[in-house]
Amino acid sequence: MPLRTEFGVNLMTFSELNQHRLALMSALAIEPNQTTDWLQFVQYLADISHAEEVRLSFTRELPARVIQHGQSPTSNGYPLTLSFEEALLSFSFENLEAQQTASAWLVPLQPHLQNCIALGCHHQYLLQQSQQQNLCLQGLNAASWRLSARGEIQQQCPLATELQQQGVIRLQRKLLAFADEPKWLSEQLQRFSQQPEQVHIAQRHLLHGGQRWIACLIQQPVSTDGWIRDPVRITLLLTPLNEHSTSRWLSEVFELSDSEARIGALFASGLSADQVAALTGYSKHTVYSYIKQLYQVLGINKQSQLTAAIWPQTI
Amino acid sequence: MNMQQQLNQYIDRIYRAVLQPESITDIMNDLRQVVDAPYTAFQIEHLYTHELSQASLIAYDDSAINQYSDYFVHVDPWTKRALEQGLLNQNFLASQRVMSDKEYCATEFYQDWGREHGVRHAMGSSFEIDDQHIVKLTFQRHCDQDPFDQTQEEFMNHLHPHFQQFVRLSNLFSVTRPDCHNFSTLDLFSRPIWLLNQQSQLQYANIEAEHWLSGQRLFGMSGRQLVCRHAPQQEMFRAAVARSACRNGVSRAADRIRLLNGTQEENIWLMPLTLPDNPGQPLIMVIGPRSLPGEGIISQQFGLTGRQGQLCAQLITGKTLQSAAENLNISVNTARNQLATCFRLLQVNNQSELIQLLTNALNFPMFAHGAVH
Repeated sequence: MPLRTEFGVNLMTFSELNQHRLALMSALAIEPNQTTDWLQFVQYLADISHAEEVRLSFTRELPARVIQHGQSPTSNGYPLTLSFEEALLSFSFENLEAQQTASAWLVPLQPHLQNCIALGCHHQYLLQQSQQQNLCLQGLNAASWRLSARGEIQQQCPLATELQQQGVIRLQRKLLAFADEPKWLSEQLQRFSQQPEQVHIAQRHLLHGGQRWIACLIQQPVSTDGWIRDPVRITLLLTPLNEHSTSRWLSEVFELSDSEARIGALFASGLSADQVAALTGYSKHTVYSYIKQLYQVLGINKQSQLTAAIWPQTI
Repeated sequence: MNMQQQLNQYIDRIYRAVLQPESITDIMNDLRQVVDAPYTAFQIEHLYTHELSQASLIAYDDSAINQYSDYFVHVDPWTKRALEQGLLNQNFLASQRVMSDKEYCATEFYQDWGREHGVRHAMGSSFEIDDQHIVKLTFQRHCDQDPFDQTQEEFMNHLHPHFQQFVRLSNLFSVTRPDCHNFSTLDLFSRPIWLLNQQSQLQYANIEAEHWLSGQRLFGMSGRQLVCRHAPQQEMFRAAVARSACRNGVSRAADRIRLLNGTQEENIWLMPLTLPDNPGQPLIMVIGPRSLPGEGIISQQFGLTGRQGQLCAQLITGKTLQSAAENLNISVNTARNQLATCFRLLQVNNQSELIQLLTNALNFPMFAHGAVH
């Protein structure tokens, strides 16, 4: 049955309209880790409305740009503007007839366009947030995984993928497991799942390839109203301890020379002076004299005090 | 209201429900009246165990589920149909149409078991979420009622693809759904982290950072700007932000500024971050100093006794074993003994390693600051 409008124009049937709904939604391409395809969305609208120009301008600052199809300036022609909470959608038509025909069915489509724009903006916002967070984690040199209650990976940051390749942690039958103690993760998750409504934390530290890591597994309950699959959110965070770049931070904080900072960082990570000497190629006595200078600057006299002074200051 | 207008309204409501998942219950309740089905279900089910998780059961007879749960596992018509059509392992693909009442009555399930136990007329569909879970959308009537007619099936067939979109989108959004009890991963860090744009406008602050701001320390908020409390430092801070923004593109390069807080000085790090979608406009991550974990957290997290936790808490602040023992009123030898136990439990070899480990341990500001009960 064709839809009739106030203009008396025969328009598309309901099923045509319904097809356009689905096509508009898929034109947006709301997919995990992909930017919303506004251009495709606008192009599709231009195609079906036969408008000379379609322009989508966002009123909120998040996407902060204008998506446009067609070249003619908006001032010419017959305009039609639909305004939504997040954006303005303006069309420009060649003649009055085209404008009337299009507006007759664009108006019934309006709630759907509103939904599309709201969902697209929301998707873009979430994507931007997760990109920001991933960059921050990368800056802090922390790898993170989001796990389901059963331990399946739901999301992971790029650094996490790298660590999996290095073998610090690996996948065993779709579940993560630490190289040195494969059962730890699944045992903790099992323990957590007995009280899903509570916050649980477990930390451990591990050695892999001469590098120390600290792993932290945390379960946070999430509100269960509505339609969420997992009532808990589980995050695994893995950060390196004795990082080689420490000396770079150290030389900035304490105004030390590069070699002083390097020796200081190694000594502070718990190595003996002999080990530091072997690693750096300096003699044991040079190492001692550097450390002595460092102790003087900081007003301390113990190795553990050096560690306590250095570590909280690093990134 | 004619059927098409009604359909239009339902389709729009279904898409709106993606961001307000709780409203799917209302939609299903209203749909019940439209298709005249006393029982409906919109439920997430484990594909193999048939365990319901977070189900949205609307006027569903629980006893019915329990009655045929064993049987369900093998011949549940909705799952079976998805299997037959090869729809499993293809997320969110579903059959084109809902399964009609006629088809339902022809299924083994109905013929073999359902009729005998007075199971109902039904139409419905299933959507796969992942390789473990399936969403079932069903409408049922009691067996002594009329079967669903063609109009009602037609109505549901029009809605069907939109329900599929709903399942797909709400699943996509639920993983990252903003919610007051959800914390970002950065909230786990026990050091303040701010994200600023080039104009020093605040884009994000983690929980520890918010706590810092309330603590009348180095920074304060003025509008959306993060500002230092002392004017000369503010100039320095602003210049450092601008300088960092220019270093755009260098990964993990950080600038340090030293801010004075009374007599104490604090090192603040500035690190530029380049967003892939917006490379011209770097964000600057401002990182404050770590806060050290307290004795409670140390003993809880690492399985130490209260006394051992106290000792470790003293050591990480830079005290020597001698003065730590004095503070705790124990002899140095007792302290040394306890420390040896700590070394064994934490698998470290010396005090430096112990301190390094505990300084890096997270102390969960969101619990410490009462954001979570």
